[in-house]
Amino acid sequence: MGTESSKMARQVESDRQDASPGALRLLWCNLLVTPRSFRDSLIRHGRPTSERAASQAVFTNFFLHILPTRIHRDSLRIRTTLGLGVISLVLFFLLSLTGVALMIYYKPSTDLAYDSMKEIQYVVPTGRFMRNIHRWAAHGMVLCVILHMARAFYTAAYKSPRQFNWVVGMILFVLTLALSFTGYLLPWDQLAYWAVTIGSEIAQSPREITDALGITAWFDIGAYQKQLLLGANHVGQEALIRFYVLHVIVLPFVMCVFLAIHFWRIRKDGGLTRPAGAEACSESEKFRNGPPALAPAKTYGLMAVVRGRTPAVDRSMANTMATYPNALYAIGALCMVTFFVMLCLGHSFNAPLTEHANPLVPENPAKAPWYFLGLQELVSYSAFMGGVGIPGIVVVGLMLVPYLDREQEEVGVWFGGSRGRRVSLASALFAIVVVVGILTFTINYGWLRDWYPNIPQIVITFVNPGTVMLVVFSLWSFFITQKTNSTRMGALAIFTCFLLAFAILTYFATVHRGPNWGFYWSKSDWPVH
Amino acid sequence: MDNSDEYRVGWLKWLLLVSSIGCLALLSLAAFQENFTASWRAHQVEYSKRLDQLARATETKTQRKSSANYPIKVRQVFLDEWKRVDRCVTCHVGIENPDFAEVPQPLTAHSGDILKHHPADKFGCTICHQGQGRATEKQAAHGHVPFWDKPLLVGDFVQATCAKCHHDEQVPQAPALSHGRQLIGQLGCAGCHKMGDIANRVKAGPQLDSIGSKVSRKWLDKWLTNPKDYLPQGKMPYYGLNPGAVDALASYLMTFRNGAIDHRPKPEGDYDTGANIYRESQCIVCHVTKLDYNDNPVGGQIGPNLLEIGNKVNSRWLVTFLKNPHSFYPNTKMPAFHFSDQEALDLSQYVMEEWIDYDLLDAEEQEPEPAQGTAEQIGQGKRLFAELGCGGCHDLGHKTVKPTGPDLTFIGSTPVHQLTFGDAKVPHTTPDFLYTKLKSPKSLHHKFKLPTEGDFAAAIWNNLSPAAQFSGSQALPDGSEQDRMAWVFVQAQRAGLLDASLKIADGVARSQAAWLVEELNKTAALNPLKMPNFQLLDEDAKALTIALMSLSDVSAPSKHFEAPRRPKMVFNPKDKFGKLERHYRCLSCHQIRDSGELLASDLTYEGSRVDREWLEHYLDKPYSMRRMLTIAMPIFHFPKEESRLMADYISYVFVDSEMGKGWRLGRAQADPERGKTLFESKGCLACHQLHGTGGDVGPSLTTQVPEFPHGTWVGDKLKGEWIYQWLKDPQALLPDTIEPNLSLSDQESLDLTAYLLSLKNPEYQQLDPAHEEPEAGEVPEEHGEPES
Repeated sequence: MGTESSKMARQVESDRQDASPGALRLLWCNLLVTPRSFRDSLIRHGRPTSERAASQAVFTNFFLHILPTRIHRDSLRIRTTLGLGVISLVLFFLLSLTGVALMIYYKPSTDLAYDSMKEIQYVVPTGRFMRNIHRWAAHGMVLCVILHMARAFYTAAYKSPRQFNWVVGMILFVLTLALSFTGYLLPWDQLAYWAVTIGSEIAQSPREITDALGITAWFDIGAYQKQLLLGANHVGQEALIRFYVLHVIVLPFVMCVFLAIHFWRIRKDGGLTRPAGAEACSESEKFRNGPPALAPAKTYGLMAVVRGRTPAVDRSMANTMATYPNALYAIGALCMVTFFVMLCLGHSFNAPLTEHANPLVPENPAKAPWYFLGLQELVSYSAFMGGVGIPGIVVVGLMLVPYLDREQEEVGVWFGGSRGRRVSLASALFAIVVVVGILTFTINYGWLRDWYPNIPQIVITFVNPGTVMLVVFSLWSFFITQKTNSTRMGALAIFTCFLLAFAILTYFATVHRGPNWGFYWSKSDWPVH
Repeated sequence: MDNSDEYRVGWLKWLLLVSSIGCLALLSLAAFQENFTASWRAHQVEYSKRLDQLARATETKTQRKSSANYPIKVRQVFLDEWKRVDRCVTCHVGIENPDFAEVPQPLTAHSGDILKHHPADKFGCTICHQGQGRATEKQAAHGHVPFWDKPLLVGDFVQATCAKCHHDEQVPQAPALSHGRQLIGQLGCAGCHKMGDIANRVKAGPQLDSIGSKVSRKWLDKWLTNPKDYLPQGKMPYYGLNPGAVDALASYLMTFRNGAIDHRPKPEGDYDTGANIYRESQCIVCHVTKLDYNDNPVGGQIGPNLLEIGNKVNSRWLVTFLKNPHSFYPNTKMPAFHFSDQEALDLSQYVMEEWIDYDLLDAEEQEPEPAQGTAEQIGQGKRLFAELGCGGCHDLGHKTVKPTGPDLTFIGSTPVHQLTFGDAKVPHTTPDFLYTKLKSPKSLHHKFKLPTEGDFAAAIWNNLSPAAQFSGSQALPDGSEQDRMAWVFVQAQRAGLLDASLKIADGVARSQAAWLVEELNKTAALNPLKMPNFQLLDEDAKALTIALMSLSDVSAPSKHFEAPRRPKMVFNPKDKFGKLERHYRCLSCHQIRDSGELLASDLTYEGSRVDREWLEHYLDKPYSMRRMLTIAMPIFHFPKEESRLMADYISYVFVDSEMGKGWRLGRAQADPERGKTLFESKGCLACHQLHGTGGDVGPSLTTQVPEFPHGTWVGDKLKGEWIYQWLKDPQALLPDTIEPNLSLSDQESLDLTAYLLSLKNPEYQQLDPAHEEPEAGEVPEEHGEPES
C-alpha cells in the first residue's frame, strides 16, 4: 500500500508538472488525494511487508509502542501466561466502558439509587445488558487478578529485576478488590447494604485491640476508620457518596496510574519472564543467525537507562518474533474472546438486585462479596485479626517475598521444576489438611470462648483459628526452607498454603455458613428463623 | 519465522475473526431484543389494531384518523408524592377506555367505577394493586420474582391497600376489609397483639373476678379443654391445653370466689312464675335457648348459650346476677331488669331446671370431684394465665396486661422471609401465611426429627411439669408422642441447654434426662406458641387476613390523599336518659348515631319518626310489629316516670329538623282519597297488612295485638314527615331496607302520606282522648312538646 500511495504521489507530481501550474488545479488535485494523504499522515507507513516495517509499525504507534517491536517466542505461548494479565486489562477496559454507560443513569442518592437501578434494568435501552456485563466483568477481573498473581508467583516472575513490579502488582490487586467492594454498595439493595455494614464493622475492628489495652476512650482508631469510610455512624447517604466517588473517580484513576507503571516496568524489566535455559539456547543461536541487524537502530539510545547487561530486545533474536502481527493477533484474539465471554454472560445471567436496602431488616446471614468471604470466616473468629491483622500480614508478606527470596535459579519455569512441583503439591495437601482440620475442630468443639467463657478477648484476638493457620503455615514454610535449603521453596510452600486456605475458606463460608454464621451442610438445612 | 509461527498466527486470526463476529452477533441480538421483542410492544400493537377496528365500526373519518398511528412506546404514570413510577399502562393500555370492557387482559378496561374516585394520574396502579410499577415485563411487574416483597394483589386481597388512605372501620366498596376490621375488634385481637392505633375499648371476654363462685369446676375443665364443644359460636378460642395445663389453670381460676355469693342461702323459687318472667323478658332475643331439628341454635347470639346452663353455673350466683348484672360485668350487654328478689329466685329456678342435662349431671356425679388445686398447680395456673395472654380478653383483678403476642403493627409489610412457614405446604406469601396462621395456627411449624434415644426422651417428657408440657403440645400439630419428644429436644436446643448435636452443652457428666427435666421445668414454657385456634369460617379468616395485610408501613404521603375520617360518635350522655340507657342497655339492640347494635331499629331519628304518645305506650308494653315475628322488645316494666322521660327525651333529642320538609310545606294539598287509590294501585298490600289482609313481608299497617287493647295503626304511630321522607326514598333512611323505591312524585307522596296518616285505630284514639293531631304547619320542635 505504501508503494501504491507513493506511486499516486508521483502521478500527482507529474500531473502538476504537465499541466498549467494553476493553484486552483493544484487545490483540486490535493482534494482528490486527501483521503490517501490523510491516511498516510495517520499511519505513516504502509502495510508492513518487511520485518523492519513491522517493527516500525509497532514502534511508531502510540498505542502499540508499549509493546517491544519483537517479542520472545515463549512469551506468546499460552502456557507461559495463560493470558491472565491481558484478560484482566481487557476486563478493566470493559468495566470502564460499561461503567461510564451506567454512570449516565445511576444516581448516587439513597432515595434514588435503587430506583435508578430498576430504571437501568427495565427501561434504559440495553441497560440491563450493560449492568450484567459490568457485574460479571467485575467478578471476572477479581478472579483473573488473583490467578494472574498466582501465575506470576509460580513462574517466579517476581524475581530480580521484577521485584518492584510484583509490589505494584500487589497494589493493583488491592485496588481491584477496593474497586469491586466500593461498587458493591451502589445498587443500594439489601445485599449491598448489609455487606458494606459488615465491611464497616471490620474497619472498626481495631477497637478489639484498643479495648483490650483500655485506651479506646482516648484513641479509638477503629471508630475513626469507620467514620472515615462511612462519613457517619451507619451506612447511609454519606457512605454512598463516598463509595461512589471512590468507585468512579479516585480508584480508577489510581488504578490507571499503577497500571501504567506496571506495564512500563514490564517493558523496562525485560519483558515477560522466561526460563534462563531458553535464553542460553538462544544465545547460541544468535551467532548462527548473525547479528540482529534488523532491530531498529533507535532502541540502542535507550540502553543506558535500562537495567541488565544488554537490552532485552537484543538478546536471542532467533527466538523472537515480530510483534506485528504475531503478538497483536494474540492480544486481539484474547481481547475479543474475553469480550465474547462477557457478552455471553451478560446475555444469559442477570446480575442480582435484592430488595431495597432496609436498615430495619437485617439479612441473616449477611455475607460479604465472595472474594471477602474467606476473610469473613476469619472475622467470625476475631474481627480484628480476620479483617485487618491477617489480611495485612498476608499482603505485606507477599510484597516482601521478592526481597526475601532472591534465588535466581529456575526463573520463568512453572513451579521452578519438579522439586517445586513436589513442594507445591505437598503444601497444597498440607494446607487442605490443616484448614479442613481446624474448621472441623472449631465446628465440633468450639474455641476458647466456649471453653472459658470469661477469657479476655485479647487472648482470642491472638489465638484463634485464623492466627493458628497463619502460624502453622509459617512454620511449614520455615520447615520447607530448612529442608530444601531454598528460600524459593519456602516461598512456594507458604504461597500455596495461602492460596489453598483462601479457596477453602471461601468455599466453606459460601456454602456451609448460614444464619448467625452457624454451620449447615446445605442451604436447605437453614432454619427459617 | 518458521512454519509453526505462521500456523499459530493463522489460528489466532481465525479466533479473532470468530470471536469478533460472535461479539457483533450478541450486540446485534441485544439491540434487536431491545427494540422488537418486548412483549409490551405486541400488546400495544394489538391495542392499536383493535382501536382501528373500533374506528372502522364507527365509520367517521376523523376518528379513524385519530386512532391510526397509535404510538408504540413505554407508557407510565409518575406519582411524585408517592415516589413511584407505574408502567403498568404500558401493557394495560386499555385501562381507561370504556370500549375495552370485554377485551381480554391485558387490554381490559378497569372494572367498576373505582378510577372515577381514584384518578389514575393521582393514584397510579401499584398504590392499590401492589406489584412492581417500574418493571416492563409481566413476571417482574406482577412482582412474581425473587426480592420483590409486594406482589400483585388478586381478588379481594386488593382491599388491603385501601387502608393506606381509608382509616375508618367501614370502607366503601371494601366489604372484606371492613368485615375483617370489625372481626379484629370483636375477637379482641388487640388484647394480645399490638396493632398500631387499633385498641380494644372493651375486653372481648367477661371479667373473671368471681368465676370461682359462678361456675362448676367440672364445667370449667371442659370449657378450658375445648370451649367450642360447649359454645360453638362463642368467641373463646381453642387453645389445645393438655389435661395438666387445664388442671392448673382451672385450679387457679377457682380461687377467685365471691364471699357474698357463697354465703347466700340455697335459692328456692317457683318454676312456673319463672317461666312467665322468662317469656316477658324476651330472653330468647339474646340467648340461645334450644336447638332446632337440624341442631342449629335458636335464639340470639348476644348473650351466652343457655343450653346446659344448669350444669354450668351455681344457682346462688345466678340469682345475684339476675338482680344486678352490672355489678359483675360492667360492660355486659345484659340489661338490668327490675326483678324483685322473688322474681329473681323464680327466674333462676326456671333457668336452672329448664336447661339442665340430667344425664350429664349424673355422668358428672360419677366422676370424682376434682381435687382442690395444690399450691403448685395454682402457681402454674397463674403463670399460664399470664403466658397465654388470657388477660388480653379477661379482666382478673385490676392488673394491666402487656400484649403477649407479636407486634402486628406492620405485619402487612413484613418481608416474607421473616415469616415462619415451617414445613407447611403453603405458598410462601404474606396472605397465605396469615390465612393459614388464622385457620390453624399450629400448622406453621417445623416438624422435628426425633433424636435417637427414645427412652431418654420419654423419661424427660413424663417428668415435665404441666406448664412445660403445655408449651410442648402447643408447638405441634397433633401432639403425638414422637413430636412431643422432638419438641423437647428442639426447645432445649433453642434455650441453649443442648448443643447442635443434642449433647448437654457444658458436657457435665450427670444424668442428662434428670438435668434436662429440671431445666425445662425451670423455664416451664420456653417459647410456647400461644396463638389459639379461633375456628374461623373461611370467609372470616380471609377477611381477617385482608385486614391484617392492611397493617402496613406504607401510608399516604400527604393528608390530601387520605379519605376523611367519619368521626365515631360514642353515645354516652351524662344526663338522666344516659343513666337509663346504661341501666337498660338499649344499645345492646338499638343503634344511636354510631353506637350500639342494629338488632332492633336505629333510634338516631326516632323522635322524628314516631308519635310521642305512641312511644310512651309502646315502652310500657312493647309488642311485635310483624305478625310472623314473635320476638319483640322485652317487657321491662319501666316505672311510669322512666317511660315518660324516655319518650320525652327521644322525641326531643332524636330528631332531624330537615326530615320531611316537603310534607310540612305541602300537606295542605294532600288528598287522602287520591292516596288511597295510589295505595291500591301501587300494590302496597303485597307486603303490608291492612285490616288483616296483605303480605307479611313488611310491618303490618294496622297492628292488632290480642292482649294489647290499643293495638296501634300506622297513623297512630308514625309522623307524616317521616312517612313522606320514607316514601320518597326508603334507602336514604335505612340503606338495607327492601322497601322498593317507587319514585313517587311529590304530590303522590303527599297523597299517600295523608292516606296512611288517616289510618288511625279508633279504639286507640278513644283510649287517649287528650291526644290530638298537631295543627297543620306546626314546626316539629314544638310538635314533640311533652304534655305532662
